Amino acid sequence: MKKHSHILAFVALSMAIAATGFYIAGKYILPQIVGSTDLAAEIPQAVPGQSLLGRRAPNFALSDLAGDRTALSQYYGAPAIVTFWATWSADAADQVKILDDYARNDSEQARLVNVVAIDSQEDPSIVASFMERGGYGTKALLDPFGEASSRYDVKGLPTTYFISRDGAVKEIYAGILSERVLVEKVDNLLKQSTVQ
Amino acid sequence: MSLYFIINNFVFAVGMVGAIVFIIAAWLSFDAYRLRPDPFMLARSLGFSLGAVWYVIQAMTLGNDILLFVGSIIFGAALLLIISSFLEKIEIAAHAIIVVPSFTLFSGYVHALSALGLALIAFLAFRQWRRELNPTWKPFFVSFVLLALGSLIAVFIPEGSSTSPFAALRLLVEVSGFIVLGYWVWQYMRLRLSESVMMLSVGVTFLLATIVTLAFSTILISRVTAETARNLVTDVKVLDYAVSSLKGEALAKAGLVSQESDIVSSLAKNDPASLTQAAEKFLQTYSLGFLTIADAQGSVIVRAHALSRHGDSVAGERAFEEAAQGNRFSTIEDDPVEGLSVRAGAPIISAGKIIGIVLAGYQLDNAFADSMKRVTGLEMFIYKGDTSISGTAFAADGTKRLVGVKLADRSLSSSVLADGQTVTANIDMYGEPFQASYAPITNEDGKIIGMISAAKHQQDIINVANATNRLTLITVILIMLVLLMPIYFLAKRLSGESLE
Repeated sequence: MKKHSHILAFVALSMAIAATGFYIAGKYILPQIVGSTDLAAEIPQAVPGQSLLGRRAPNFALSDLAGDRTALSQYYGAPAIVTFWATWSADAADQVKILDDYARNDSEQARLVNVVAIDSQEDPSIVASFMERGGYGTKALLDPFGEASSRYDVKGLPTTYFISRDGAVKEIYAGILSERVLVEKVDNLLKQSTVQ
Repeated sequence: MSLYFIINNFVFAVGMVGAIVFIIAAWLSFDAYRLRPDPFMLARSLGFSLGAVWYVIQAMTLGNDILLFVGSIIFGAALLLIISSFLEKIEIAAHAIIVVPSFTLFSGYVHALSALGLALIAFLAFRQWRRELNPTWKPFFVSFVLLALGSLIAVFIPEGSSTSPFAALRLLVEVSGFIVLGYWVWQYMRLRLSESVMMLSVGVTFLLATIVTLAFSTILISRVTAETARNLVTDVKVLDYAVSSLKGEALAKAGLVSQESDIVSSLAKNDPASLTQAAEKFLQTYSLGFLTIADAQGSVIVRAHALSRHGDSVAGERAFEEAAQGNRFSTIEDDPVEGLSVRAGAPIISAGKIIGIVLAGYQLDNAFADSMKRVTGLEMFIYKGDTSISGTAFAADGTKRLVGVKLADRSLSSSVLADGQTVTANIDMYGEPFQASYAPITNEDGKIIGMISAAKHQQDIINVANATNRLTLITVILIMLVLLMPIYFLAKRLSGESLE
């Protein structure tokens, strides 16, 4: 029995050390490697009526053109570009083309970010027709009732949000972005994400 | 051969002439140093050598900011060295002089400071001419005045405007400067021809290399331009075919939608909500650009692609008129909502009566142009009349599409719109040069209503020319140097034997 108690004590001690190790790794070391995963604790939540800059990007779960749901939280761990647009706005439609060109350039930078274009308050058939006719491959999500637009306080189209890997809004750009400016801003976003 | 290309090659030629003259001047200074070891002569030789490097960089790297920046630093150093070579004679002036070019090394106003540096060299040469009463300095002085003037003119050239009058004037002034400097060099070479065989060889090598390069690139670019023109004509015909095939596709789909039971029954029951739902469904199912359902009188009941736009009339449209007669009809037509578009009309028949009309088709908008660009790899433009309404190319800022532009070349638009010809030409759009082919867009009644255009940015062709220029120049120089070496050693050996 005494012999067994020693074994049990050894196993318990090993488990305690392993648990402590995992805790330390999860709490301090892992975030250093892959960025913070403790989302709620570090970044202030969005406050209605106040700028989203520096705050947590409001989560959304929207359908794409195939009917599959996509949530912003799925993209945590990598920076994201979220653009609000609609087919009726020429600039916003052009922004989708520019985002598409950016993704098709197949640059190292473009592979490190997720690009999402949220169509605001249009019928899926209109968006599908536009995307298909233009041959655009950008991930298009549908916000038929404008809920996501409202949570992001979108005042004009297009508006683009640059979101860091831990879900913080790092930059907001109202208006159309050229591919060159887009590359610069994503570069900044990646640097900021690396620093964290 | 476009003006853009001619200017590009002229800039290259001027740069190379400048490099040749500077190299010979460097060699002359080095020769003088060998005869009388004087560090100031060595500085002058080095200065002219670096100046030659700058002119080669300028000739070969149009638009390459990094190399131009490095080149401007080299040129600043060249000016410093040439100026310092005069210090032996005018020590008091020297202290005041050095400040300006050193600032040049780090200043963005390279042209202005270069002009100042060059003017300073001209002034020093003038002083030397007056001091020594030596008229051989006169062409040296004049040449640097001209080069300074060239740099000063460059300050007023708008960025990227190679075709502006200032740019042409600058090139002319610089060429004149190089010719006069060449004359100054020739004065010495004439006197000491026997020591200058190598100098002549190097000069001739560069000159021939430049001529061969220019000749080769001109021939090549002529062929590339002609080939591009042929390809553009083929591509614009492919685009025309793509538009025509859309007519057939729209016609078939309009016919299918008009027979869909959901459409027929909801229209027969006068149920707008069900009709809207069905129209939205079929817009997506049939991958249409637009889908409009109108009653038999032409009043729009639903636009599936623009739900808020209804109640207006489409009775005046050709597609509607034919469909109202019981025919299926497809054409290209302008509409206030969809713009210029491929439009097909088909009657919706219930109990043997036409109860409504389906109008379906595809907008010839930017999305269409983008999809065509993916097929051809070329910039695409669609014109209503002679004004572009959609296209793929963006202005230099990268945010504004080059649309809403009236074709400036009246004879070109007249050839396409009035005579129905397919034409290829060099055009300018918001200052961007393109080589483009134009084909007429004809509606079903045989009337020309616009143009379709496939275009290639001329910079793509110029890039081929510049890459060719660089490779050819290096290859020809290497070949000529290899050929000259045996001749040089043979001449040396023969002269040695004759002395013995």
